[in-house]
Amino acid sequence: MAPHPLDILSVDEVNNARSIVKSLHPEHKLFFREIYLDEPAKAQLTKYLEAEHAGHDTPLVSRQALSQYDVLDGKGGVQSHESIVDLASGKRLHHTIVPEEHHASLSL
Amino acid sequence: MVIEPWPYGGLAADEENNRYFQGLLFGRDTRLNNPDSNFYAFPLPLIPVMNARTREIIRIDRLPTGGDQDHLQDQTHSANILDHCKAADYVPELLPQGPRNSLKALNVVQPDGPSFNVAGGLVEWEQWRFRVGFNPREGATIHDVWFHGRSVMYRLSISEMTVPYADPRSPFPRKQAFDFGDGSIGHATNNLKLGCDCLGVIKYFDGVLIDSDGKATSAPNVICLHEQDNGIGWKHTNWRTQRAVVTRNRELVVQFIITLANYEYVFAYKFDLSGGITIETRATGIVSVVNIDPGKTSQYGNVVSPGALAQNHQHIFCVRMDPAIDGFNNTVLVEESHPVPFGPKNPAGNLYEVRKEPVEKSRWIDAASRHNRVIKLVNESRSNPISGRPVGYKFTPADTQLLLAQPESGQARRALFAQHHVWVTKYLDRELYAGGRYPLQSKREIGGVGDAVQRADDVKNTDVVVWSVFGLTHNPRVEDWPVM
Repeated sequence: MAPHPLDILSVDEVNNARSIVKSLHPEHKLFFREIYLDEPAKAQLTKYLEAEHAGHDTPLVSRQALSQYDVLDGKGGVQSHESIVDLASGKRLHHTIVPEEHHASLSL
Repeated sequence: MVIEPWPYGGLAADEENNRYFQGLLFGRDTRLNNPDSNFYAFPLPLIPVMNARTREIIRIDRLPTGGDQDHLQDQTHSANILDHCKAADYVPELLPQGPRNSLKALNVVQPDGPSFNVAGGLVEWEQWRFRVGFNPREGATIHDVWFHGRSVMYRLSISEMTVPYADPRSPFPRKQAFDFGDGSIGHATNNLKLGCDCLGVIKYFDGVLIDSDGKATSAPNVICLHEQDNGIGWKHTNWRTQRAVVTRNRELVVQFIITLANYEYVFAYKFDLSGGITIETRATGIVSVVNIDPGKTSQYGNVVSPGALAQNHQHIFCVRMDPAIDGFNNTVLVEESHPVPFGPKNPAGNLYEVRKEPVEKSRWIDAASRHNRVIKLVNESRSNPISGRPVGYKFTPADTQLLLAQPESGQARRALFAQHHVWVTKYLDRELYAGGRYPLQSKREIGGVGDAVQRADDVKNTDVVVWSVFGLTHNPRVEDWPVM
């Protein structure tokens, strides 16, 4: 059964996101901080929820993962990245390099 | 020696923007042979600071240990820094008199099972229907909340919190945690099967976290769901017949607990039988203490154990509410009750007036309990057929103390959200964090509610978001030690 758009990413989905992100940075070592569901945009999710509440067929909502990770250049340089990937297509939808003035959140 | 890693805190204006971490140091009495003996009772006045990239210790901050007579002076302590400290254990096996054994059993039994139904993330209970989510930034989140077949909320979450310490002696001005935004709420979230305080039938939700290689790991039991009885719901007695009718106030609780080093915070979303939602936060665990010279007292806190000064601090929380009252276009009304002077409209002087003002543009609002200021989230297109007034939900912003640090201080610049009780903004996808996306080591709050209201968006009868700020000014008591 397809996950609900608000279900958290499953273990398989998280691992899938990881693979996609690694494939986007093939030359570099990555240090992952977090990978979790990128909640659907409200305009899209509300349509799904309306259909769900009305008992109608629900539209397809893509499962997207937000990954927060560091890219290590191998020479001591570190850059914090955030990528949002579409789990079905394996494509990256958004890519941010966290500006130097900010610090990516800590991880235990 | 125990090293407690902490975020570095706010960078000073002239400090180089490197990524640092610091370690708070404590001694642990190994003679007790118990890994859970309370090392917080033995604080050491040193903080090593590490450059997180190079992994080098770049300096060791020496902490002041003086009392009132020493003001901002440091290096007042003697060489035997822990001699005057005293053990303060909380684990049952180390309590000198043993644990309390006088309480008789109190059993919560649900012989017919719980009244809730859970399927995946969907929860149904007593005409409530909503979804539970989890992410490592916000912990448990609540979505698509409906009551009696009517829409109430699109999303509820704990958006951020800040814990600024008020000790002016270097290096303490940078001691300020943003326990959600700093990171790692995911790993800080307790597995609630180990020591959950919930009674009765409990449903647990699991989360999924990752290791540093990005591989998924299960985080079991990070959220618990249960019912509880919370006293009388309503009661009326017909005094003529002496017939009393009483109902119970049964609540559904969705709860998660985070441990940040010494402190614990319990967050509970509670749903009641009359359509009310309560969001409760509780602080427990162990207060943060620093070393103080024997025999001294300090205006910067309270000595809670010999040699251990618990510094004054605040805990300020922000809950984000994305209302969907009978639909997504809502209006925020500020309602107050005011006295009215004597006059033709008020010949006996007993009249008071209820005034309602819609919020037109994004802005902040402060609590005002003396005016009974209440915030209403209404749908202007739907009227209650009985009262004729727009349907809505209301909350009273708690008139708790806001951030005390000076507005131009580093602590205040980093936490604009903590300076007002209510923020009203126009919905924007992914605008979820009251203190901004990157509070770790920030110099100021960027991309939080402070910036959001600067947009001065029209927020009347539209997709509006309301942020509620409340907190505790914690001037510790001896009785807060060793656990609160």
